[in-house]
Amino acid sequence: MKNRIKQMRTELGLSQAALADQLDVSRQTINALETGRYDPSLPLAFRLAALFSVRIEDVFDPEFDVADTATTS
Amino acid sequence: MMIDAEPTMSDGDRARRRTYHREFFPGILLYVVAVFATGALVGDDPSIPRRLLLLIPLLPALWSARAIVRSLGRADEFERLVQLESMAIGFGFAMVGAITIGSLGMHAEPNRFNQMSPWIIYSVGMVAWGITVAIRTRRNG
Repeated sequence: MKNRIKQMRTELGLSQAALADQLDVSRQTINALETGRYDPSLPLAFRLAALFSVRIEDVFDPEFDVADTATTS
Repeated sequence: MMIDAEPTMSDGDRARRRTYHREFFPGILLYVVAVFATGALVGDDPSIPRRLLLLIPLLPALWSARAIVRSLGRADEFERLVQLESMAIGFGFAMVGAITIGSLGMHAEPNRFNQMSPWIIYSVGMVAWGITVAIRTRRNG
């Protein structure tokens, strides 16, 4: 899943380590999230959105169209 | 050329690592001491009570195993996933090692293979676990 974590983090002037400490996760986890190698759990995704003061869908961008999936199922 | 100025660990990472080392290494140190001490104490004495003393090193080893479990409890969801996947791969390698040695031990030099097998299986599992963690850690920067 695509996300805008790196962009939002740099806008806040935070390093990966600082963001990791604020979310109580490891810096490697932040790196894995930013590079798209790991999709977070819902609780972590909500914590990220809350920290950036945005909605969760402003941080994460699903690569598929949810509406299309719903109509075809 | 861009230089990555990101530190490799956050303050939280360092704190978690310190806690893990503080809990894990005393157990390993005590294990080594206990192995040599009980070995020297028991010697070649074949009596059962004395032989049971050789199990004393299991206590500090279990303490270190507890430290690993506790570190998994402190890890975040991604670290836990990496560790558990690596442990699963280590377990798989250990099982393949056990089957290989077991197959060889059934027919080719059973005594030799049966004496060697626990430590070989342990080593194969631990090395596979360690290499997998190292690869995953390097890949995730």
